[in-house]
Amino acid sequence: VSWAARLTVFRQTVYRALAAGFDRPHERLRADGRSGIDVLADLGLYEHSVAPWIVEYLHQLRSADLMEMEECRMAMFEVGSGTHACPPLESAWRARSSDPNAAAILQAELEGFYRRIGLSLTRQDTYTPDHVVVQLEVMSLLCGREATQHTTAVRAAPSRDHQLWLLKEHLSIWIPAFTRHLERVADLPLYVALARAARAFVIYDRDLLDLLEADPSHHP
Amino acid sequence: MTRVILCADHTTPDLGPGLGFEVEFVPRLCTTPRLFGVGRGGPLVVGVHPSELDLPMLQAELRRHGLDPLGVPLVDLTAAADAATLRVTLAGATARARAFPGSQPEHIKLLRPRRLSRRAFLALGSPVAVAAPWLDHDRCVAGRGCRTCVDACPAGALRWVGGAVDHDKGACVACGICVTTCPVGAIENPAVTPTALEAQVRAIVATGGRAVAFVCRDAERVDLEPGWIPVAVPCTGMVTAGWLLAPLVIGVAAVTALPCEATGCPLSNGARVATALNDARAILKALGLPSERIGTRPADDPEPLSCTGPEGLFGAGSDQRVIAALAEAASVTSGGASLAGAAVGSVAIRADACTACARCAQSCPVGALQARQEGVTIVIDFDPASCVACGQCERTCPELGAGAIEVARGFQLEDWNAGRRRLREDQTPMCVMCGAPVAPGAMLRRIVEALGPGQDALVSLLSSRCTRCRGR
Repeated sequence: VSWAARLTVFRQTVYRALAAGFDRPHERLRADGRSGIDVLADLGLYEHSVAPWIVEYLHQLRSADLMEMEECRMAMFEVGSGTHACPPLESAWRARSSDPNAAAILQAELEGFYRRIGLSLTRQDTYTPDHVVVQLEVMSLLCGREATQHTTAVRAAPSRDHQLWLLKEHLSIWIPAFTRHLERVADLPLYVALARAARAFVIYDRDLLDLLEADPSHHP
Repeated sequence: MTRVILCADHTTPDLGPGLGFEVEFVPRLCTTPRLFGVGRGGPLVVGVHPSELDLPMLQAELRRHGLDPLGVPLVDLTAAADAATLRVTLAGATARARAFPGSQPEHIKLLRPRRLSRRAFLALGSPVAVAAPWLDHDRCVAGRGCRTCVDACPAGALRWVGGAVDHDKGACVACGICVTTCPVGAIENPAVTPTALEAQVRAIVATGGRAVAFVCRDAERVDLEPGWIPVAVPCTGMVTAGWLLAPLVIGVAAVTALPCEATGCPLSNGARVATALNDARAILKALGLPSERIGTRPADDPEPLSCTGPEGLFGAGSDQRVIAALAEAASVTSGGASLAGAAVGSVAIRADACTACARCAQSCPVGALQARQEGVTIVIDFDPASCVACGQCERTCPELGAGAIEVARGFQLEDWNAGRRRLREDQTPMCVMCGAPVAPGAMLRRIVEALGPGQDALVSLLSSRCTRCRGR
């Protein structure tokens, strides 16, 4: 397996693990935490400068109390007001616009992007297109596609371009501010660790893709 | 206790007993880093041979052991001329490792390794993580118009956009020049914090080090004579005159900084290094102290200066503290020098050109210039001991073209000792409606001149009512 393919699978796995942390807690989480470090270590976790933050998050995940998590998550992500409120939506964190339709425009832009890459949110999906879980899941999916392209010897540029767009135009703009606030308001150490890991990884991934873009020899 | 691991591949001098830290020798540490004996966490120093080092692999290995690579000083074993030098160098590095404040995701910049190991060459391995400066927007005074860091950045990575400084990490070369030029210490780099640097120099002095040389972190070659203790910084272009003098206050007998050109560094900040060296010499000369302690190591190996310097000698605005400590050591209360790059200065205002608008005081990032209303008089005063010569007052002065304000880089001890002094005062008519100050008299006279004759009603309104009451 080439370094580029291994890197892509690593990125896919981390994005999925982060999305799971922001999503409603489920039984698999603890198991994911237990196996996560070994899986990521095989994919070269420690070669990446984000390793300390990812490891801390996965350690916290191992001993997660699902009820406690759900309580904390509801107060921060769902209730929408109060001292612990921290809406996980891009539209809530982008620079305030005088246009009252700014949130709808942003969501429509993202929905259009998802459609272009062959995805559509179904009616059963309770998350809006600018929700953190949706954006992280889409990144994970795009990394998965790139990994497939590596193995089938097809140039991965289209998928990489989509990832770069979502990272540069959306995730790297709002995730740092959102996670810094989350770090301040979260009562549960798990969410503090998740906030740090998400911020670290989004910043790292953007820098990494920029570096790979600047050096064509590192394209697969 | 801090641990030190050294690459055992080449001959390393016998360090002897009583080191104050544990030392372990590891074979092939540079080529195939494996830290089997190292437990998790805790301060660590690694001694390496840079020309053979697989840095991405070493960083991965450090992370595997729960260590932050940015907080693990790498000591160049080839630069140490003898066992005594290596002992002191390692003591300094251990103090620096202990003072590491921890890094944040924003501090990390990824670079392609300058030298690819065989493994990385075949596998196109991971990038190297280096510490990059990070701007704390809460402390930054760009909103007042300050753009000192923007002007100083040699890579054009800092831009002033709409009242805020934007840091482009992709363009940043992580040289750290912005860290030492920021007048309020709003830019930080965890790999070279003022506290860690001071701890390192104090440890060097405590273990018998007599001469300190600032060297580039990425220097390809460091040719130092025996006795010089290297202190690695991201780029010697960030070394200020204050940094060169601070070790003298702490107890070192001689200090230097190697310019980029001497070490094969591509950043080419040699002119900045030369300016800092010249300024440091000029300051010593002005204080009657031997200037040959900067840049060279005197042959007679003189005693260190006896200073009772305060702490915080490497932080923002430390140039003044260092000069004051040296002046006290030399028992000097008068004299001064004109300088080319040091962050000390004085401001002069020409009363006939100044309108006393106080924009200079509002924009001063360190509060050296302050404006206040005393009854019917507006007063602008100045504390020369606080001025960092950033030139912000000049840039924001609306009467700069008329030569209303001038900043001179340098210091006069008499001025410092005299404390805050009045630079400008002007009478201010008070509003007939609310009693608030209308505008300084000089400003009103300038407006009357601009309006020309025949505008008596307007002039009367402008000089008798404040801006809030004019529409009533």
